[in-house]
Amino acid sequence: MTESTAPETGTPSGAAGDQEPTPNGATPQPADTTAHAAAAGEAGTAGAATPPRKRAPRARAAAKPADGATESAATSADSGSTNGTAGSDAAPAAGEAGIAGATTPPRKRAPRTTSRTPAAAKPANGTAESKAAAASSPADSDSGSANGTAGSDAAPAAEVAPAAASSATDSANGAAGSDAAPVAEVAPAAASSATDSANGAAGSDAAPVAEVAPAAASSATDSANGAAGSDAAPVAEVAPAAASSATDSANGAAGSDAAPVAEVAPAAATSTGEAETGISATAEPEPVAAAGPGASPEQPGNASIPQARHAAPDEVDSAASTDAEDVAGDAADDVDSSAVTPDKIGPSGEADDGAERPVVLRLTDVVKTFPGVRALDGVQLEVRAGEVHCLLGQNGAGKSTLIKVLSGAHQPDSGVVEWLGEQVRFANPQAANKAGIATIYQELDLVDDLSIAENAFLGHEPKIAGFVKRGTINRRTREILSRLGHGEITPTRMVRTLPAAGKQVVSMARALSHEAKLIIMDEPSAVLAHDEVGNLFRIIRELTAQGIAVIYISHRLEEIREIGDRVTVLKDGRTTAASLPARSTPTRDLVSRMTGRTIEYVFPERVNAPTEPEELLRVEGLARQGEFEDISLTVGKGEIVGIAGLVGSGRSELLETIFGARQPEQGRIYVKGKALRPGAVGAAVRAGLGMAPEERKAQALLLGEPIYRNMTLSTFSKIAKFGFTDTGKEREEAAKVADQLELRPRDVRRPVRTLSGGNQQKVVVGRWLLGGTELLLLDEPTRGVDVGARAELYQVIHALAAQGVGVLLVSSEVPEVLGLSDRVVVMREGRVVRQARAEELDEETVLDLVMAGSLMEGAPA
Amino acid sequence: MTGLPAQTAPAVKEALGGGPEEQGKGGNGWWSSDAGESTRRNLGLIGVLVGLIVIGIITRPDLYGRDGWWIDNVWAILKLGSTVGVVAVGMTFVIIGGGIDLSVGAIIALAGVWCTTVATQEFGAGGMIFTALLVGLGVGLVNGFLISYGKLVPFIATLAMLVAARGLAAQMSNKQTQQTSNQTINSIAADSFLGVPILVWILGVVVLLGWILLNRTTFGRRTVAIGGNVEAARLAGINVRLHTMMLYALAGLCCGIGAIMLTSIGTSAQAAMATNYELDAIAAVIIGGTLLSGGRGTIVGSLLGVVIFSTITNLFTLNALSTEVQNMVKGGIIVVAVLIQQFRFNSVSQFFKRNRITTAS
Repeated sequence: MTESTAPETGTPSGAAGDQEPTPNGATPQPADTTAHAAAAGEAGTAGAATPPRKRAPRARAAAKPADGATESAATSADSGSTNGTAGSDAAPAAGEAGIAGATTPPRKRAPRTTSRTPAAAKPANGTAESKAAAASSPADSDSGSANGTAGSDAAPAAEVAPAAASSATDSANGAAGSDAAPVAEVAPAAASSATDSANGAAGSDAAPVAEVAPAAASSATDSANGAAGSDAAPVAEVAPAAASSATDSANGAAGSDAAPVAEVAPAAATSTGEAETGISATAEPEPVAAAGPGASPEQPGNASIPQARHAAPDEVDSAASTDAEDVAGDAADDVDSSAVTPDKIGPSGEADDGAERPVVLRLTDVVKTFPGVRALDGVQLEVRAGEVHCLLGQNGAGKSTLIKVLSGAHQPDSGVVEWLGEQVRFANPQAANKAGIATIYQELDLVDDLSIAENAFLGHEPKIAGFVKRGTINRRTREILSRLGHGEITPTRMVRTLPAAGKQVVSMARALSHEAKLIIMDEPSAVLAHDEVGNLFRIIRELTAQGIAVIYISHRLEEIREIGDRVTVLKDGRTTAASLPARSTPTRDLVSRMTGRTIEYVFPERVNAPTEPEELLRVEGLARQGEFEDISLTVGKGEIVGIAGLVGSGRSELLETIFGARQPEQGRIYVKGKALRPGAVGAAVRAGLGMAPEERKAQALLLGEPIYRNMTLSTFSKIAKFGFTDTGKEREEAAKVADQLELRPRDVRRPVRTLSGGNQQKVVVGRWLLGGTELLLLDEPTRGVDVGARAELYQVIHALAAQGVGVLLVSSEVPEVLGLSDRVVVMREGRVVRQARAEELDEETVLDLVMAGSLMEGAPA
Repeated sequence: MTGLPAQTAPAVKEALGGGPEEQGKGGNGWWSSDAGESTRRNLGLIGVLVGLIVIGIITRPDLYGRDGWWIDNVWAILKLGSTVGVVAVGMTFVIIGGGIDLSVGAIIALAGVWCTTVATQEFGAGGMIFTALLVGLGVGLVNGFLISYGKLVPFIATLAMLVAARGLAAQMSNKQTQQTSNQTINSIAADSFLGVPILVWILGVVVLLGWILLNRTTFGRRTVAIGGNVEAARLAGINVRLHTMMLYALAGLCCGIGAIMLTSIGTSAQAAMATNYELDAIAAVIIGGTLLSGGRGTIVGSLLGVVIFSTITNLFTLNALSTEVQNMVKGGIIVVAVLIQQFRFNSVSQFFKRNRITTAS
């Protein structure tokens, strides 16, 4: 069992062979266990990275232990450290190692190994089979890479791969359990365990563990002795999530023995990796991955993902485990704290604290699709009691859908929502409320003409024979308000008379009246003035001090730094980073998780960008209260000017104001030197402006009408003779533009409804081409447009500019703005914070500007 | 009308369906177009009409057996529906444009009463007609102004007008029935031209003009655009407010025409005339396949809706059945028609969904 690595030496021994289980077929490489293992050994360095391809299946209860050792996962920890000691060594190592090794790109997510996962079962090979559910887990040893650090590497790895499971096992030795364990933690889903037949003992122990642990991963351990393994096992059982247990221990507690272990653990945690895997992982295009391997220190930070979240609940377990612990260490937590911290960030206390608290909510692989959209595509989320868990993601990343799933407004198509340890499915918002999940939406849903108390108890008023017990609700509301630190507010006051901040307090009072254990706040600060935000935070702290968990959604990084404990990042409906420490994760990591994209943008070569173009549009001091202030910019003939900014930065409102769809309160707009009548779309169109609005379907298209009618929507009157439309000519002209734009299908009589998003956008652009527009305003031109069509749209935009059309475009995607524009205007909170030529800016700079310029705050990189 | 393209054969199909281009869309066959759908629906309505006539023949073979009786009955049915038909044309525009007009009956009453006051009758038939049209147009403009520029919800603005216009009509007529002594006006309902009753001519001309206006002019195109997606229309530079006001003015004008017809039919006008016309007109428009949410509809469908209603009335009259039963049947028909419409619409959009997925990949 064991493979040991000599940490000190730095030689990694190959440890784990893991197989990657492909449970769902997700991971393609199941078969080769051994090979990997071997590889792992050498690979050390590389090794760590495990790419979880899909998602690591959680080894839930994998009861299938049938195969005894094999299956289960247990993997070993071995790796790590061979012995406890080793572990310790490793720990430090981890710090360094982490860098190199750790990155694992979570590709998809490691499939959960549930019991069902056959994978596990596959014991076919007697040996190695661990089921690794995951992905991989590289042996610790490897991780160590050259140096003893193996443990460390792994750890990072673990972190990295959220999903990943890992387990490794090695053929030779069985032991790698420990690794696996950590991994497991890391990977929420993942579990895996490995084990090998060879060591039967360890493996076997592990196995049981695995079974026990629902989530679990396995635990591993082995360290030198098989015995350890066995101990571990029990532990595992205890721990709901095996993995976690490990983790826990690490954090916590593990017994004395453990302690050392724990340190080690981080390192250990790692998974074993098979070199191969690792490699491949890296190779893979995933953005994340890319980042990872690079190994920049930061990555590790992210890596932390894995934290031992589950662990918490069971400290006990951990305790139990103590003995065993060695292993395990794993500890994801540790990982976080240790691995990460050292390198980059200062110690983050958060993780530790968090680790000790019980998990109240866990989402695994949650999927929600709407017609044509995969809004959630495998979300992992874990929230502990008493923490502020921040959700970060760009617009459209799925945050709102996720909230709706949690609050019962939507039901997931698949995946597991565990609330207080039980799998739940909320049929409606009332059910979620009843269960103790309250949601405070951005637009506060209060009834203005009822009192505070009546609002707080709306829908669940204590009553006798249909009569509301007013005295009771007033009294209880007063109690709740004082819990919130606002005892001074009279419960009988009408909500209408309260300012926004006061209404928010009432919303929270309503949540507490349900005895909520989890409060979801959707951009609560968006409606508050700056000084009111401090008060909000104070209330949030009061809530968390009472053990209430808070999911906090905000675009403002500095708020997340201030109030958040951990951060989960969503992108395109997927969790790209789970449970990172909120304070210590470098901004650029968060940003890269939010923006990481799977396919690179392909921007056409910009030819003939005018250097000093003739001025087409000049905006001076334009302002609309609450939307934007003092905006001045120019667009020249044939020039492409991009506005970068988050939604809510006022950019869409600015475009609409220029176009006359909104009335400016201050400022002037000149087109070719002539003042434009403000607030009149007709005048803007006559002056040669055209706009493709953000919400294409809602704002630009008549979906049931044919393409040509949509294209001629602003010109049919000109084409008409004496008020009679000339559909023949309309079709002819529309067909010409359709050819020019390479519209598909080319038949302009088809209803627009039948077109893809990119082609619908071309129809909107075509509308303005038909009208001879000289200045095109494009609001999020590529939203909802697939990648291939994007490239075509980029070409269209460039071609228009080449014809002398001025383009002013807005996009949330910074690379798009940078790649497409000649000049860039960066907006934040309604103001222009920077104007520069595109080549003078890079993505990071712009993102920093856009995201409140808080890059350095709290997160020295 | 001069601008009518000279495509005669397709024009027939268009007349049923709405626009020309919607037929035979390439590739996917006739069902792939929504407009083709409305052609189909109109054919369905014609089927219903034929069914009703067949029921008439079966139940009263004696009447249909009489020489030349059936043609007289056809004129009787069309005359019965003529006033509502004219109003329904205006209503079709309003509804396609995304609005609703509840005040049409009240406008008819006001215009009828106004044009039959003693003072007005002194100006002769021309003066009476001019007055009725002007009153209808004016009240419609007020509706439109309140809705477009006063930003009132159409339902509320026209509900208020319903109450107020009838009140004004009652005030003007002093709650009396005002007889018309003008023989020209009274002859409108009684006489025929080329064998076709003049009321039917009026209906035919209004429907034809309405069809041209909707399908062949920029006015009609704007109406569809605004009803289909008001934001898109606005951002395309269409003056939505002005156009919306014109839609209500058009509906008011149709009511003015209806007021003359109804006054002629009764040789009198009173404040309580044209009661429930708004409901009849809306029902006919809906049965005709116009979406209540706007953006799609046909004049021909509305005409068929009107004719179906008056055929039912005719059928019940022929069989001497009570109006109570008749109203129950009409209510049922409205529900069934809308249910069918929804069903069709859903299945069509589902088809598109499937279709899009396959073509997208």
